[in-house]
Amino acid sequence: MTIDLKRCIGCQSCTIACKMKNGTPPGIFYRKVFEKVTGKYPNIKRSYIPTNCMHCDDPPCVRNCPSGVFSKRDDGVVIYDPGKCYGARVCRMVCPYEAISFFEKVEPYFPNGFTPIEKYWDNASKEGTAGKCDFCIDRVTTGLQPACVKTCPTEALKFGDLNDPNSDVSKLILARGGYQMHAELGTNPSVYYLP
Amino acid sequence: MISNEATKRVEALPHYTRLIPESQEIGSQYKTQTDWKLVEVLSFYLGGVGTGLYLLSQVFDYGIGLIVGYLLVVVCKNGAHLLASSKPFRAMGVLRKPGTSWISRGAYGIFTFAVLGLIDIAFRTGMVTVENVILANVVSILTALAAFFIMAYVGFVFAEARNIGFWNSPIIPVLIISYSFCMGYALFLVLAPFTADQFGYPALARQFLLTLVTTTLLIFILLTVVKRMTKSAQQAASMLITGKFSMMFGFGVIIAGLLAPICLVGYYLVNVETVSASLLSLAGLLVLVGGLLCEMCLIYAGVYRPLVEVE
Repeated sequence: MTIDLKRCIGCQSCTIACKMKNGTPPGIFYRKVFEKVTGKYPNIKRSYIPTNCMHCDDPPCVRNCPSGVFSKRDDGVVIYDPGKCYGARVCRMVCPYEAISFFEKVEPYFPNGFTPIEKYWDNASKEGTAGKCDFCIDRVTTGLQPACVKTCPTEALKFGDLNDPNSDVSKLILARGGYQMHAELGTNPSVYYLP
Repeated sequence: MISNEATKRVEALPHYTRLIPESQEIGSQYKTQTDWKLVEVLSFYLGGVGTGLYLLSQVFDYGIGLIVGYLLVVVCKNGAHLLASSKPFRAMGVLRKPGTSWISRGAYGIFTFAVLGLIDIAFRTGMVTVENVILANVVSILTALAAFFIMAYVGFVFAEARNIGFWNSPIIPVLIISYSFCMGYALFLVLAPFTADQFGYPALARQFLLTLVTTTLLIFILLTVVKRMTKSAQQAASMLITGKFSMMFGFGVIIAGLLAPICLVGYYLVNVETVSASLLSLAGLLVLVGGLLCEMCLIYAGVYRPLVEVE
């Protein structure tokens, strides 16, 4: 995935699309858009930095989770199985990107209990387990784009095959000098930021 | 368009919360980890004390120490781990990834210790008589290795968190091992007066003093090293020295938990003929409290590297 920092306007559409696709309860975000203000008045620049699971090539969550909740598919997407999670939370400790959420106590969005759609999502069964972005793997396997990519109104997000030098994402990374967040930690993330 | 009236109505609802919690809004803050709390602290602490006591009790052939050490590790440490887990009935899954996960490896160490330790205690306390001395020795050595592994793996669990600079220091595993021995001596000296066994207290005191001095030096080395590491590690060091954990760390860990026991043990060694060995028990108690506080400081001061560095 590439994230074009020049195109992102911080509208949080991707955040909402992610919440709607995954049905995450209040307080749980698989995707966040951070604000960064640099410079000094009057030369101030505000930029937005969307983040999600970086789907690292050497994912610390996969390596360190003792119960094998996380696994890396052949295509590089890091998926998870909440049914295996026993709540050690070591994944949250070792992830350098704050990408893993923990379903501590699942509360309804509204005071009158869970709505029918919340019951459909069945977040209560995920209580006490970890969760994260899986690049909407069910959509991707059927040829669709992840919900955040599809929703982004400025097309700041691009999704594709990094191993294919002719893919849009590979070309963008080359042309724009894409960089990885915290590359110095050696996890080799699959999400590149385009400056 | 949403009217002001409607906005006010929504905000007035008792369940109204910000869409994105304030703590998650800016990715440039230095945040301490909040996932591991007192129960996790206790599990690591009890493991350290228990394995330290068990190893010393093996050396000094101290039956009660073996049983207490074993129970601390197998019952209390495991109990705390289960208590900390949100899905304890899935906890056996911890054994799935020994190839890469230090927690999984630690779990294997605990299981090995639980089985071999029971046999070792049975042999050593005479509950089961064994003719084959070699077999008893092999069981003892393997149990000791398992105990040492349990002592050591915690440091590697911490070291794996590359984004928590303070835990990522190479000194942490060494410090944890040293502190475990120190606390093992401490509990040994607290328990020893209540038993009929006779120990050479001056020799014990000298060894205890050595572990105390080593641990104190390692803490100072850790702080020196950490101050030269990443900004998040420096933040952690500041929290311990001048920040919100300074009282706990400075007074609890350094003064009451290490320097005071060093003085007490030193005083005992200088006046060994006239001073009661119960002074060593007092020093032991102080070290045990200091050890718990140190574990709390280590875990609570785990500061994450921010996602975005602020210029």
